[in-house]
Amino acid sequence: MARQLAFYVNSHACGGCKACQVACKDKHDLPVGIRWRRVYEVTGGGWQKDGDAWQSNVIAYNLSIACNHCEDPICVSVCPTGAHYKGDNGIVFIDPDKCIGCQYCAWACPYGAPQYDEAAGVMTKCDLCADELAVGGTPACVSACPLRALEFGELETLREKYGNVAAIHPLPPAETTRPAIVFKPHRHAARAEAEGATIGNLEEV
Amino acid sequence: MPAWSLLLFTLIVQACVGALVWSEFLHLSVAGHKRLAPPDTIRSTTMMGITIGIAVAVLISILHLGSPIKAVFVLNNLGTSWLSREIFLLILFGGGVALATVMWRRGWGSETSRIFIGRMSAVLGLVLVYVMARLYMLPTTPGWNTIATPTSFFSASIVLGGCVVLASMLHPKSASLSRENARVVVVWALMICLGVEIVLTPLQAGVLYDHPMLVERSDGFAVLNVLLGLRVLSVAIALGCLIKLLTGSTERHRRWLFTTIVLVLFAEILGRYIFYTYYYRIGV
Repeated sequence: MARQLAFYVNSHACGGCKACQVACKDKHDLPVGIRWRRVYEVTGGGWQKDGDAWQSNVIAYNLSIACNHCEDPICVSVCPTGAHYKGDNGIVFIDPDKCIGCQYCAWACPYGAPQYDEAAGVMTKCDLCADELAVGGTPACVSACPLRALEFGELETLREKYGNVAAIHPLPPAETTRPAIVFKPHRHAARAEAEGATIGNLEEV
Repeated sequence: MPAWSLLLFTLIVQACVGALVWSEFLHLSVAGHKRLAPPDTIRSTTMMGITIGIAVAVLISILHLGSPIKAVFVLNNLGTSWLSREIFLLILFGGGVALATVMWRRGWGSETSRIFIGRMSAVLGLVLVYVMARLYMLPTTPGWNTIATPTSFFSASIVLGGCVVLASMLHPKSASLSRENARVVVVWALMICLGVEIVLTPLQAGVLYDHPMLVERSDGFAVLNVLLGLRVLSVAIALGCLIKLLTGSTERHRRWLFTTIVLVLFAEILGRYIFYTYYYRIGV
């Protein structure tokens, strides 16, 4: 089986501090508006009257998402120029010398991973800090997480360690693109799906 | 969104395909009846117009690219990318029409070969419209991934192409073909397509009503309903004008035809505006 690197996201532990998002922007010197990693705040529920008291029924958790370097990446299949490609280690890269900036990949990717750099006229996305990995380092987001909610490694190893959950609300079913990611779902995740919780910080992501 | 360059690109290309398909169909329908057929100059002029239309559409489409200089790589992924396939077919279609235009105008080759290239280009054009629709039918975009997308693209081709052909019939040299059977055929086809567009509207609305933006914004449904209502209204009035074209006095044909073309153009632009504006995909 080909090598496939992946992220592990512990949504239960994530406090939503966005240190991962900032570390990513800092490491890659990303311009304003481009966020290869984003922290989504999933919110729902409310307060329910219980006799004379009010009970909290609030749904609230954070979801730190970058490119999931899918095993069946839709960005690679739709890209007309072949600028999107999958490397030997399973990382999905964009070749800026081939990208024409048509943004078709951004239409297609259900994780919002490919982002358009207007100044450069090309799409950009998370490359799992391939340059750091090459010298034995770890991705900037993983290094920056103060709660150790992010990890990275071989997909199979992460699955053995943490299980097979590859989709939690509001992400699409894993069958769509077979994302190389493992989640520890937040305890509210099942209710969030059942009750249709929404993203509370759309302006930020 | 809306992507104006893509809106114009798709409509112009579909109008060009429709015009060629109509032109070839009408010539085919009078094959063997030289008396009914329009002169070759009309055919070559139509093809010239289509060639220019395709060239303009390509220039407009380039506007939405961040790095158009690298467009030479655009055919690299014919295996899986519908966008690559679209450009490939556009080159074949545009190239075929341009070749046929030159052959008709310069008198190159036999008449049979010119007709063959024209008809092959028309077939390629229909495949191109299908590929254009498939491009948007991504598994991650439920609003686009419906039968309404190819139906509306083919309908736009037939309707816009039909309008181009009807407009060309105003030309004094379009001869006997214009005011007899051909006009009736084109008008009936347009009425059927416009009827299909009205029938499709609830299906389109049903898909769009799931749009997350509408769920979150209280006035979202009202704006969408106004846009859809305007489109249905303009299509319905265009249908009325087409009926007048069939039944009204000949002296007023020009007026009804002009009104039809304006309304159809408005309806198709509005329809495509809705198509692009209410794009959404699953996930985050």
